[in-house]
Amino acid sequence: MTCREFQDAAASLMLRELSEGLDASLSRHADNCHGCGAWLQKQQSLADNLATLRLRTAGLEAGPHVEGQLLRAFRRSTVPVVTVPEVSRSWPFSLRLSRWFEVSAYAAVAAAVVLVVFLGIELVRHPAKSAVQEQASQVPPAAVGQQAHAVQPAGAAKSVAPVSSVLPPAHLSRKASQGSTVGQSQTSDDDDYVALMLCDPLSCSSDGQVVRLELPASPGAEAQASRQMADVVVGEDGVVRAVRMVN
Amino acid sequence: MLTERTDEQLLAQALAGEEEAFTALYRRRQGPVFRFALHMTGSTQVAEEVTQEVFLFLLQRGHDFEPSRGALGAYLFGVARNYVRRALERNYTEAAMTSSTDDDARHLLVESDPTDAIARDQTSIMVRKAVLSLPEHYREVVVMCDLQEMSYAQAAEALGCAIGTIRSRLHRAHDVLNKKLRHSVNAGSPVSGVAARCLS
Repeated sequence: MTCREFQDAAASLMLRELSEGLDASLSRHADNCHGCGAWLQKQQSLADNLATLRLRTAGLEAGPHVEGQLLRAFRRSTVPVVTVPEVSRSWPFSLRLSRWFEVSAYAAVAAAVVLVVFLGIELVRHPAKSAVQEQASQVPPAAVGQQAHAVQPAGAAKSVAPVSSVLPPAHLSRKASQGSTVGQSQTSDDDDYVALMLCDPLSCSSDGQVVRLELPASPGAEAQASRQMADVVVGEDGVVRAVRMVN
Repeated sequence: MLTERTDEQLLAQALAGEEEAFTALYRRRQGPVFRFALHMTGSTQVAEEVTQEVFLFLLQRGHDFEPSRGALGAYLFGVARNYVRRALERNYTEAAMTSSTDDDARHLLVESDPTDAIARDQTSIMVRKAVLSLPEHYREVVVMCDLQEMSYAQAAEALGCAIGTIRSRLHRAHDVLNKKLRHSVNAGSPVSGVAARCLS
């Protein structure tokens, strides 16, 4: 143990612990080191002196006249305990009535708040439903079917409506049958054409040309055998209007 | 019956008007408060005045005590500390009118202490004088921790500071005490042979 370690350890002890006894390692170091031994002796002597003073003054107390004066002051300052009467009996009738009105007012305000919150939630939850119901109530029964078709979702309209409206006109088929270089497998049935989604009904009514192409049967097919012939209706603007697979 | 009750229970009953509870609380707590004031001022008369003031304060302002903030004992020491400070200022002022130095004033305080009859041993007198001559913030921790056997935590609660502050003040106070006592021995104070060996 070094001197610094010794002083740190001894200083962390309280004085009364120093006076009662030391750790063996501290005692050994104090015996071997003259400086630390002297320091420890000073600390222990101080602890002994303070302990002596503490013992000699341990029984000292304030004189009895202090207690007497305090008791006199206590009796002077003591206030008799006031018993609080029961509230319901002591309150006048008008006060009780006003109390009842106050409670009723609080209850009414609470009920109004609950009602407003409930209505607000209902309005937020069903705004579209209420608008459709209003329109249905104003439209005559005959037009209800058309209105209902108009409000169908966009996905449903995509799959049903455009096919008939964008079918290529009959003169396109005629042109295809005249201008085609490969006429063996050509068919005059316009119903085989499938309109493409990009075809605008207005622009599809204009003239166009039918071009026979050889297309892969599937996106992944590379072999020549898996290719298929198709007639493609190309508008004047270069946009493909419709396509027909040739068997 | 009353001795089994806690300080807080006794205080509540005393504030409700029970004289027996107040008496029990006073008899339980007046000794440490009186000795603290005695060691701080060196005067039995001042210590009794401080003790009386502390318990009068408890009667008048006891409702302000909150048990959640600490024990009643520490609260009483805190109140006593304030009254001790006032008493020391008052006594120093009175002493300054009759004497020119603080040392003389302290000497007057010590000489007026009847407990000197009890502490006849010269070493004890010397230690008491050395403690009284300490700066107030050192004296407080020496009185509380060494002479009242309070723990560091209790002293910290009573003085309203950290435990580390108590520890460092106490360490410094012991150094100062050792120097003062060694100086007294070298100056040829009347010290008994045993005490002289202890203070060497």
